[in-house]
Amino acid sequence: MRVRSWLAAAGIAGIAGIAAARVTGQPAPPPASPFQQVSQKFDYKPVKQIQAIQLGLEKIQVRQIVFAPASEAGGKQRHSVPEAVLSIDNDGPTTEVIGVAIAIFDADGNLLAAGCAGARQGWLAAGEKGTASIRFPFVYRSLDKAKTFQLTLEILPKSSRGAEAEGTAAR
Amino acid sequence: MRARRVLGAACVAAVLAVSAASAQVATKKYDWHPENGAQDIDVQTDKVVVSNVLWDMGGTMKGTPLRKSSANVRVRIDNNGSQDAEVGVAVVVFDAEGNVVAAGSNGTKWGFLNKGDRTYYNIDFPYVYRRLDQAANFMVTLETRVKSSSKSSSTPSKKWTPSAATSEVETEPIPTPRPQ
Repeated sequence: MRVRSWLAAAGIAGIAGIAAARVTGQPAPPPASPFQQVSQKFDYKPVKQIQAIQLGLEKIQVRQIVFAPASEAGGKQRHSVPEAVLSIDNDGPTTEVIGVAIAIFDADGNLLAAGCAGARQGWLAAGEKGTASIRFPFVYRSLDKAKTFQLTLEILPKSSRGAEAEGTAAR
Repeated sequence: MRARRVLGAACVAAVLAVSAASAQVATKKYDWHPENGAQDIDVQTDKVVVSNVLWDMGGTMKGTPLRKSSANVRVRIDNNGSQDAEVGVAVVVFDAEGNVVAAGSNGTKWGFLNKGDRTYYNIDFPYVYRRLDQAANFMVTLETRVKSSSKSSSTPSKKWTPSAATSEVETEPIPTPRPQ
């Protein structure tokens, strides 16, 4: 008797779900993906290469960015590559997989440099502070004209292993 | 002695000026509408052209402690110029709201892309990629620096052509037979 009533309830719920889908014309939404992303544009105004910024998602905070220029060495020695080093704090209770991307623009909106990086091991444990270094080894020669930069922070709880289903083919 | 030093300094300054001036940059923005992942574009400077991009949305590499993505874009570079060139390409992908959803760069690691040559560079998006499926437009920057003219010979080497060869062959006039 209990089984029958449970089945009846399930059937009613199913019919109600289908009816709702028909009314809205939309299938039921997929479960929310656990990753989060935030993107923000900043003016480029470092003081002695250092700029304080505020970009955060929940308890993950990017608080500082250091723009290190290329140091040209003479002769046939290789020069070092310009890079942006971000200081990231995980003030939350869980380990997070962290990715950052940056695009640097001039006054006319032309792209001067771009890159992405992760935290040192790809993730940052709860309560830890870390850095992410984004290098610009190939496109960097006009960085002295930088006026703005756009920063993206992408995080994912490290425990949600099965939640990522991004094996998508090219569109 | 002083004149020689001044002349030397002038030469060094000229070489530096040539090498600094030879760095060229071009940026263009495109709407995102690839077909089967590929999209034709046209970004060029110094007769070096980025003519095609091939998007691969990739996937995460399971079983590795670092879950990087294999998402990338493959850019085709043609050096249609008459000089070898160092080439760098940067790509940024935006969503409809203008948020950066992927960014990266690639280019010549050593040496030059020779004149007349074509190459492909893969620009990886290993860390920020999860909203790549919401891409609305993208920006491509091409940066080139042609090989310094001071290193190359001042006169271009002539290629052998049959017409050139025949014109440079020394010929003797055929002797006219004389009746004896």
